[in-house]
Amino acid sequence: MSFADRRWIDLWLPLYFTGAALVPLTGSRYAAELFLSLNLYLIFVLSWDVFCGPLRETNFGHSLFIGGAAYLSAGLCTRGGLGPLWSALLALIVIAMAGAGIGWVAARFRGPSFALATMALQLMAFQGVFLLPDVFGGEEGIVGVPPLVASPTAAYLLVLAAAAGVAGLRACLQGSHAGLLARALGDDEELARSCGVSAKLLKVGLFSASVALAGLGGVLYAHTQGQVNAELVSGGLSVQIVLLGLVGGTRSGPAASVVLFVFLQRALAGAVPAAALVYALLLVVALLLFPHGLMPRVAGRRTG
Amino acid sequence: MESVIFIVVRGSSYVTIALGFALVFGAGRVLNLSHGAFYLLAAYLTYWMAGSDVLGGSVVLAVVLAVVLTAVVGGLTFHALLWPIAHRPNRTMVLCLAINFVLAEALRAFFGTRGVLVPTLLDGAVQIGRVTVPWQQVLVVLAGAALLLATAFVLHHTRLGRAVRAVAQDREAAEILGIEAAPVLAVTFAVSAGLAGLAACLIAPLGFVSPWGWISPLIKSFAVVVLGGTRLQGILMAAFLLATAEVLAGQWISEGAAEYVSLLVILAVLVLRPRGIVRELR
Repeated sequence: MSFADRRWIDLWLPLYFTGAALVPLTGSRYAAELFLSLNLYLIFVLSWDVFCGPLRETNFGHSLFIGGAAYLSAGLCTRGGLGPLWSALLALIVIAMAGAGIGWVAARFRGPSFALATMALQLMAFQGVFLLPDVFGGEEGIVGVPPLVASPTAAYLLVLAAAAGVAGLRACLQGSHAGLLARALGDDEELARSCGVSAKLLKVGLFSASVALAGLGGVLYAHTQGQVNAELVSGGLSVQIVLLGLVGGTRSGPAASVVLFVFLQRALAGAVPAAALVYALLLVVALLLFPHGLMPRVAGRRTG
Repeated sequence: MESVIFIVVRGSSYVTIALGFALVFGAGRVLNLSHGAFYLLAAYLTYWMAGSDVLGGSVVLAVVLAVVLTAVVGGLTFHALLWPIAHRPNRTMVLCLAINFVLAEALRAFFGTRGVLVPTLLDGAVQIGRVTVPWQQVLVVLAGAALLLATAFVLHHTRLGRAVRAVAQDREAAEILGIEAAPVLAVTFAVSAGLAGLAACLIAPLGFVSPWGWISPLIKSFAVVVLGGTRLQGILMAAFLLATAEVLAGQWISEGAAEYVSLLVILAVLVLRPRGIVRELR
């Protein structure tokens, strides 16, 4: 059994959340912003992994749901006259329903077909943002999005709680009977179906959960950053999420890759010329060096 | 008349862009999502070399060098990165997209985020009826036809072409008969990258190119192959069907709507034939 296979290694994640809760006490604005960014990325990547992890699929359109919820909430707030909490709630409901609908259609796709269909949807959304500048604010996006809670510290703790909640929910799902069936589907769908696993229901359920959690991340981003722009529905964000998820592997691997690489990204910015390029190269190198992820599955490997 | 000319030019550019993509998909069952990256690389190389003193400002020399360099990069990329994971289609797609991502950041670092204007091979325009057509667009049409015929000739009348077709039909049988798949596919990939590069040198001068300009050529190539398959007749038909749909959408709805046509084609084919592409990849 390798070092990464030992289950006690996953304890770092609750320790991380405990430590992150103490950050506001330091009084450092930089630290608070860094961890806020980290926690948002944790929500983005872990929500992606809720569906793609056990089912071994690759969703290239995850940013569509993040950005979709963000734009919807921001628009309802700034133009629809709704309060931030109601906007956020409504946006989450709409995006979850949309996710269920898309999941119902996408459940018939597998492997490359699924990946390409999600990529096509994301690209349509991205182009739509520029085609309707009056609605989406064009390149500038929507600004002046009010916060969900009064103080920055409260907002920070809200995002932290959400990230911890998403991580906990993901762990519960993966340890549950549904998670076991999902892994069976991911390993061999034909065999799982022949054993009576309801593939469509499971896929739709997990996809809806993944989309709803992604929407949560998007809504929190909009209301903590005060703005939404096309970057949030871009292919670049989707590819980053996929790379971080794959480099991570299983269990707490995706969370580990997020923490490692977001810290790396921040450390490189300003310290190294062409920092974004170096970061992108390091991600690709990590993908090549860890083909089964930082924390590979003990039994069975991602073969997709 | 104007619409017909737009369709012919657009269709020919799609033939040129999609040819390399179809070659790799047909021969190696590899969904090369980095096809747009090679297109972009050649466009920026041409822009940079034509603007520098190294080649004395010669656009022709810059184009030739850019295409050759892009082909070499393509072959090396396949051999070093993609061939080892060719049996894992999802992982191959992720790596290809990551290559696009890395290239976009590299171009952003060296050239900034603003679009660049790739120099044309031919200046001036010709009058066809009431329509003024730039010579560069005429070159795109002629080059599209020439490349299609050249590809058909190479595939059916050369030893390399026969090897490519053998590997495409049955890789194992080809290996048993002494045709090694890896070098054949590496050469195919290099040629594909070179074709993408040549397409860039012909088409990119018709507008601006930015670091995120890998998306459009990739989507067009993929839509053509999804619609028409990997046979040359299919590519020709699909390219012109797609061009017709886009021109009509642009005239009847809006220019923005035309951009959605390729994506709708991809989604429609995936929904109606979800195993269509997977069957090709198996």
